[in-house]
Amino acid sequence: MKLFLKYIIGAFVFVIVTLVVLDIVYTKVFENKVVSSKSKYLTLLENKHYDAVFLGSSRVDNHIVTSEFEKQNIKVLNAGIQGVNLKDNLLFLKILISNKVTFKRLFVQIDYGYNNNDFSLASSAGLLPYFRKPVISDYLKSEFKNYNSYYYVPFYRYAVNDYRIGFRGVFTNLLNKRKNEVFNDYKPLFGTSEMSSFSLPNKLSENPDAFNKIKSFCEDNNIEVIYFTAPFCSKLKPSPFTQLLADEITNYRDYSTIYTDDLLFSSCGHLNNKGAVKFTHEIISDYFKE
Amino acid sequence: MLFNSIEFICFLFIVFILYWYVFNKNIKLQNALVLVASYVFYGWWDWRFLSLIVLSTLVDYTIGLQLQKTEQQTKRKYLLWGSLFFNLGLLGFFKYYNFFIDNWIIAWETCGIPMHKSTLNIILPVGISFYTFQTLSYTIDVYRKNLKPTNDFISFASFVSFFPQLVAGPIERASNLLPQFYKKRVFNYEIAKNGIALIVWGLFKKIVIADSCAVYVNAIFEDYESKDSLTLILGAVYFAFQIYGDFSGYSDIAIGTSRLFGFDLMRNFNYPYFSRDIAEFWRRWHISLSTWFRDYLYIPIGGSRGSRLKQLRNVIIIFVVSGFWHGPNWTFVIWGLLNALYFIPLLLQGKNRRNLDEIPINKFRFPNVKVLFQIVSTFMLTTVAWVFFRSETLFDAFEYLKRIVLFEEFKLIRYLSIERYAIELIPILFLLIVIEWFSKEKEHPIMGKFVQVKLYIIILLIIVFGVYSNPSDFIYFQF
Repeated sequence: MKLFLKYIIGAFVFVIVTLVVLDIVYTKVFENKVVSSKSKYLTLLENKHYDAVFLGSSRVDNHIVTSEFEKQNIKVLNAGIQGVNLKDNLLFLKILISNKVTFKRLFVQIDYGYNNNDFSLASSAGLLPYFRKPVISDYLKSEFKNYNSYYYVPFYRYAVNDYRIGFRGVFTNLLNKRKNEVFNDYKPLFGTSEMSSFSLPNKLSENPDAFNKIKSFCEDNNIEVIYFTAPFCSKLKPSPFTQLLADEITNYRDYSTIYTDDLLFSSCGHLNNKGAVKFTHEIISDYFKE
Repeated sequence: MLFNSIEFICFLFIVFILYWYVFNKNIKLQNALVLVASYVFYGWWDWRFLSLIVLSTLVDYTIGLQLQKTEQQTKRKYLLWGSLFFNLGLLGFFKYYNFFIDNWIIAWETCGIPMHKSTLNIILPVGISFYTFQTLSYTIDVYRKNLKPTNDFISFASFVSFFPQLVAGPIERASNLLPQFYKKRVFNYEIAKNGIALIVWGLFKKIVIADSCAVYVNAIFEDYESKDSLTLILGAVYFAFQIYGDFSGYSDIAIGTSRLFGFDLMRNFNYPYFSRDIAEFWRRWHISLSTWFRDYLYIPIGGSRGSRLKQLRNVIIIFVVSGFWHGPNWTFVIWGLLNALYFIPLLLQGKNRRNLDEIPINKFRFPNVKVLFQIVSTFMLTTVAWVFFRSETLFDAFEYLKRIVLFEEFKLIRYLSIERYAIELIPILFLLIVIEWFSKEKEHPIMGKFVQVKLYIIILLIIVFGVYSNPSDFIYFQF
């Protein structure tokens, strides 16, 4: 029995050592300067200044054409990430501030996500290699039920998010040769598909926790913030939602119904490249023209 | 409680320590511990299910004792029928009630007679098909006088509910497992080490192979209408590996866990995808169920005796019942029937027992072209049948196969866009095939020379390639 216990302890020690070594190796690989995702790009930004930063989901990532701003000598950061929620946006905002990224104005895209208080780890998993950065770990303490496992168990964060930052993610990072600039531009969508109808909620959440946190963070840090709702196609069902947002939020702009031409859309919630350029000009003329 | 969970590791550790350090002096206490541990393990899913297993245990224990008391054949028959009626009745109610009601209604409505639907919201108790067959084997063996009934209730209850194999087999024979509860178990270092190796190998098959395949299989089967031929073929092949990794992985963990406690369970899989024909496949796949049906159904209805027609009838019955055992769906029935159709030509030509020997290999340990062709064609036949097993409905299964044949688009790019791993899964499966091929003379690959090194490599592979973000239940739990 003693031999067996030694055998088991040996295997157990091997598992622990493997987890620690893999954790170190994976973290080193993800921390290299080859930028393989937008979340990594944003996390690595330091000491930069922008005229404006746009936060949001795909409805920013696919809509805000930074090169169009550059033509007007306006320096803009498109910080939209596919699939994220307002809670994720707040974390990225905090990371930018802690990395001494400064900006004159912050634009936050809000829509039905106003009612959503969840943190979308699926889209923000790219942050987990930097989990031990205080700004990230402090924020996620309240978001993760199993925070202690994430923090103290080696390799745990890579294992439970294996589809993003597991074995394949490590190789993608090692092999990725893309230049950093790719992630500062928007991700264009092309063509037009058949539009299906789209609905917004009929009422606002009574406890928009994520929104309130963004709002108070901006107030505390003296950040000028503008909230806006990006366009939807003509199949958007009539709803009082954006009017309720306008009643609730003072510095809010509703662009949800500005376009009736569905040829500008890739899908009902996403403009295609032509629509994105048009929408970007709309924002420039509304906020950046004297 | 899943084998691939932290809860189970803690549970196993506690039971192991109590078993060998606290209760090791007294076999009865050890058996009682096994019983309590098994009930905790089973009750972890839903404690209400425990009542069924306790009831089933009480009924068969009592019937066993009654069979011992009487030599009167009629009374013995009644007792046997009582056990069959009770156990199969329980199984029938929990597993098949809604299926029969649905089909009864469909049958009448097809004849133009409207019926009132009265299905019940029945939850299927985990592993009911497994422990029902296990207790039935006891009653039938006692009835046949192949086994002496036990007076030791704790041993019997432990046999019925033995936690390593309770929910997904191997379906143990009373004649093999029950006597092991009477004998004093002595800890054996080599056997326990082998048990650990088997557990690790089972975890590899489950966490790396089955769960990786599951991601693709689910994506492909749930949206097969939009997939091209190549993707659909890959989906079917992945499912073949998923179900093998899942089920044989479970069996390996069960057998390995039992060895830690000094028990020896029967082998359930013997590298089935290296079979040269479908008859050999069924001697290597889910062996405990195949032999159960052989001994308690096939042989009693005549087996391979009698006219050709009778033999055909018996083969069809055994395969269809085996399919139906898996669940209340016509897809399982057709899966069984298809396997019968594969088997019948071998039976008619008298070739169903031609591949009883070891697979011939050359000096480089590779098969010759003929054997390779036999192995690949058997795998392909099996994979076609698996499409029925995996599909939700018969319509889906036929459509799935139809699209493979008719859609005629073989673009890898579509397949690559499905899921996270893209092409990495193919070398992972290839690795499994290579490891198993070169280990096929052994019970499992972590044996022979350099056991420790092999064990550590497999542990490393489990950690690196395992799926932890979306662990799935073992498929056979639903049966």
